[in-house]
Amino acid sequence: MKAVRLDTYLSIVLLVAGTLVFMEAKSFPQTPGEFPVWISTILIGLSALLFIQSVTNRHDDKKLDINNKVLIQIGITAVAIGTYIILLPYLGYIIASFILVLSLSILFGYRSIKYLAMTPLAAVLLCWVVFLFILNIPLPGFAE
Amino acid sequence: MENLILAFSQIMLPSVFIFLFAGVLIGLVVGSIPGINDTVTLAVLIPISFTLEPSSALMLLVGVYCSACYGGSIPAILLKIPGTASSVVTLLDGYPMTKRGQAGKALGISTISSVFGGLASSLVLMFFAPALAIYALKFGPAEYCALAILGFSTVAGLSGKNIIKSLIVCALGLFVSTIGLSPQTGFPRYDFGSVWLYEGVPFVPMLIGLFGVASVFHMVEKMVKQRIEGTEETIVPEVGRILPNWKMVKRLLPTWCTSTAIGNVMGIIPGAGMLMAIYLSYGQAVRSNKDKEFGTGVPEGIAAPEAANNAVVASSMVPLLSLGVPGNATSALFLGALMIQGLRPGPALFEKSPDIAYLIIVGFFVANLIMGPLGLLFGKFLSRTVFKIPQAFLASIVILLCCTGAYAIDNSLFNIWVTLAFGIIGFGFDKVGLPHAPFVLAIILGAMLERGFSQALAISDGSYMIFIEKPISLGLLIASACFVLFPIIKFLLNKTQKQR
Repeated sequence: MKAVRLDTYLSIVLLVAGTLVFMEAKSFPQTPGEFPVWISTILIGLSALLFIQSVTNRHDDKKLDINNKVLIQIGITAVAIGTYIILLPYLGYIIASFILVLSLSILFGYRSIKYLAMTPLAAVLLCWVVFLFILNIPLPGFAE
Repeated sequence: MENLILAFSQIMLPSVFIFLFAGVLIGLVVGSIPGINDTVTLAVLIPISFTLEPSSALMLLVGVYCSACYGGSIPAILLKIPGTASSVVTLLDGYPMTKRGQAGKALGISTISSVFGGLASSLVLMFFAPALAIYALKFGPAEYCALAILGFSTVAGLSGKNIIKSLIVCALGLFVSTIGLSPQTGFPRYDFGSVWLYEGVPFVPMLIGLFGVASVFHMVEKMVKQRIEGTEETIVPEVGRILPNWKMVKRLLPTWCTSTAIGNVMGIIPGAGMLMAIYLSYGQAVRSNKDKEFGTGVPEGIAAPEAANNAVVASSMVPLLSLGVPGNATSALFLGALMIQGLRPGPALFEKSPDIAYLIIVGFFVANLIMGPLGLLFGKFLSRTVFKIPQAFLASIVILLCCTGAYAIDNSLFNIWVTLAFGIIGFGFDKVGLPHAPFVLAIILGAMLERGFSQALAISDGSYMIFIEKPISLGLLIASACFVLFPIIKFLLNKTQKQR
């Protein structure tokens, strides 16, 4: 559990984001830039309000409820999906998806070797058959 | 009337009915799996459905939406684990009934209450949506702009504890809606130099990420916590007789009627949300039954939230079908489903594709009719099988389906990146207490607001009076002001009374 004052930090992040959006909007010509300028101004204003609220009512400001182990697992999952996207055109749908499902199953704590040997492959093949043959949607590696 | 009869006859075609039936069945199963809910399932199914005939595809989604909401009550009652967010309140009285050996009775009450709420809201959808759509044909840019403002004001007025956070989410959604080419001049905005963003952030992959991938991250969090705490294996209790007797039906009828009415009103108001309807109806049931101790296994404590949440389901489609404004996050997914089928929700849907509009309406009614017996029949079966699926395997399969679904929309790897990015954003939103629904609503309303505002000003030569001179626009703006001012006045009055 990290002792982070959630709303205070959130408001600072949003203030910075709002300012960046505002600066970018200001570089647009007047007509397309009008709406983004309004939105970013509102975002900056609301972020400032949240900051004031979090500072004045500190008892209402919660701590960030996230475990480091959870954060690492989610980070690895996101990296695995990113790697999958990169490898998909090279390995094709079946191989890339099989590796993804197998590695994620193990990462999430699925330990039955008997099922690990069969279920990820069966699930990927089922998915591939449904998309390619029933729905006629070409998947990478089998596009033509 | 003619359109309704045609829709009923169309739904009875085996090629259409089978998809509705399959949808109800899928919804029941996924709803009863903790961590998977109606929005996740719809997000995953939309890319799959777009190759189907529009009638079949939409019936599949209607079936899932109707029954997943009810399916969530099964683990809530049996295991004290809400299958969906909508069943959070059901477990308060459902689980104590299970502990008393009345699991079957609790499941039966939940089923009948859900069907009652669902059928009533289907009737509301049947009569309100076409009438509102006829009225909406009179809408011009000024009216659409005012309608978008009304949507935002309901979010502001009906948001829970932290109104500022809800408004921040709206602003973030509005920002996302500006990404891509400007509707007036075609100038690229916030495209980060990528041509993929010229048409804006791909809507369906974004929803798949926001609801599908984010839900997997939550499952991961739960699994890690369970491993740390060493949680025991799930033991499913005995179910017993499910069908409630006539005496119970008569007892619960007033609760069903009140909760259904609350659910319908909350469903029609964009942004009000299912949870608000559930809490309001549960609160009303508590006030109406002061002699009963809620939280100890009172049947009204199950009937009220279950009737209300299923009443929200169909009624949330009223603003979507008639005005093109989704009532909640799940109906926003329907917007995506209609769009990828080449259909535009709103009054034009009733004008150009009345067969589809009325089919959806009738689909909700028939789906509830199917859900009743299926729920009663499969309640016991689902409780024995579904809870045994390992969460670790389920999570990895959902990831695969999300990625495949996002890619399949237009064979683009960029879509999977969008899904991943919004999965992280969605999980982050949950962690910092930012609600999802206003974000999706703002993305949809943002485009409507900007387009309506600029077109209205172009018509009026830059005069803002156009928004006040038009009676519908003025009415909508007054309603918006009421939504925003009502909670403020209520707060000030309460404060004054306390000071006295």
